[in-house]
Amino acid sequence: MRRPTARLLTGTALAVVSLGLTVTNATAAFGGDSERGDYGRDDYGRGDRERGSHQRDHDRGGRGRLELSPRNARPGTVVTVSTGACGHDGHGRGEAWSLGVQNFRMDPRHDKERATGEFRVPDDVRPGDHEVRVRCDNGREATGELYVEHRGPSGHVRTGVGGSVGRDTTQIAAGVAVLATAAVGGTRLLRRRASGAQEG
Amino acid sequence: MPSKAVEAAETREADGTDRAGKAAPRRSGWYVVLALCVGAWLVHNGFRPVTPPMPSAAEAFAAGPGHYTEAAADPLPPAAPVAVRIPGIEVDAPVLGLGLARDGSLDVPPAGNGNVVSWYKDGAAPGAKGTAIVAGHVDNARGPAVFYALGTLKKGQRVEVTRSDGRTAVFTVDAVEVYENADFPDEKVYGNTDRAELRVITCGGSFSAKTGYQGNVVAYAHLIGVKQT
Repeated sequence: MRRPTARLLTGTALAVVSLGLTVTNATAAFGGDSERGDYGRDDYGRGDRERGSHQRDHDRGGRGRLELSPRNARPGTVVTVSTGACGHDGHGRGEAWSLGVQNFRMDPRHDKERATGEFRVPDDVRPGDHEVRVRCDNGREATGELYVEHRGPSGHVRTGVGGSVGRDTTQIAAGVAVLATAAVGGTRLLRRRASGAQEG
Repeated sequence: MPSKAVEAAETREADGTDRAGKAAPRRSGWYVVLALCVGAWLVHNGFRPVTPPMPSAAEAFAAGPGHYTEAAADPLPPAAPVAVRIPGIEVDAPVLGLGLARDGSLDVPPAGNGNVVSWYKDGAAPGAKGTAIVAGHVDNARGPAVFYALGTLKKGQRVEVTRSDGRTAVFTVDAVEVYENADFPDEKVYGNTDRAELRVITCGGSFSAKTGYQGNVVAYAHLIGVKQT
C-alpha cells in the first residue's frame, strides 16, 4: 500500500521539478540525459527512476509529446501511449525500435483529441531507457521515453530433489523390536496357558 | 503371522470362562495385544516418507507483512554478502551471488554442494535498503542440505549476514510461511520495500517422487542492527 503512494508522490514531485527546469532553462533540460546510466544498480532504487524525462518532449520540429502509462515498466507489461499530436480524430503508427516493438496502431479511442495505442514490453529487453515514437497520419511525430525496469525473480525456487525424504528407519526398527517382544511374550503366555490347561 | 495367532488366542481367552488364577495371564495377554498394536503402528508410520519440517501456522504473519515487532535499523550502503548465519537452526554457510534462471526464477547453487546459499545479486544487498533475497537447498541427492531446518525457524530468531565491507547485518525473523508452487506470491516475497529486509527461501511442502517438492518455505526478516567486525 505504502509503496505505490510513495512512488506516486516521488513521481509527481520529480515531474514538478522537471517542469520547473523546463520553464526556467529549456536548453538545460536537453542536457539532462547524462544523469542516466547505472542501470545495474536499479534495484537499489526501483521506483526512483521517474525523472520525468518524458516531460522534455517539447514540440520541436513538429514533434509532440507522447504520454506513457506506466512510464516505468517491467518486461511483459502492457504500456499504453497517447498523444494529441495526431490532431482531432487523428490516427497513427507507433514503434519502439530499441525494444523491438513495431507498428502498433494509434487510434482516437475515448478521446477524439488524443490518439491512443498500446504495446507489450517484450520479455528479453535490456533494462534502461527506450524511446517510443509515434508517426501520425498528419505527418507529425510524438516521442516519449519508457524506462524498462530490471525484471526481478518470479516464481518458486528449485532447491531440493528429495534426497532427505525417506523412511524413518529408527521408527521402523523400534516398531520391529516392539513386535518381536510382543511375539515372544505372547508365545510364552500361550505355552503357559496350554500347560495350565493340561494340569487342569 | 505369529501376531495374528496371538491375537486369535487372546480373543479365545477373553471369551473363555472366568476361572480363578487366570486373571494375571489374561492381563499380560492384553499387554501383548497393546504391544502388537504399538509395534504395528510404529512400523507403518516409519514406512511413510519423512519430509523436511514445515513452519507452523503460528509463524505466519499475524497481521500481514506490515506487522513488525522489533524496530528496524537504518539501511546500510550496499555490499555483497559473504556468509549467512542462522544460529537458531545451526546454519553457517558461504554465499554465492547468482542471477535468474531462464524461466525467470531465482538461480540456485549447484546441488552438489549442499552448504552454499545463493544471493540474488541483481537485487538488494542484505542490509541495504530493499528486499535482499537468499535461497538454499533443503536437500540434495545425498540428504539434508543447508536450509533443511528452515521450517523450524521461529519469529524473533536472528539471521546474520556477513558482508564484504566487514559489517554483519543482523535481521530478526518476522514470519515463516509456506506456499504452494502454483500460488507463489511474487510481490509479497520479492517486492521492494523502503527499508532493509531479507527473504530466506528453500523448498518445502509435500513431496512427490514425480514432481519433487510442491512448495517453498519463505522466511521474512528485517534489519535490526549491525555488528562491526
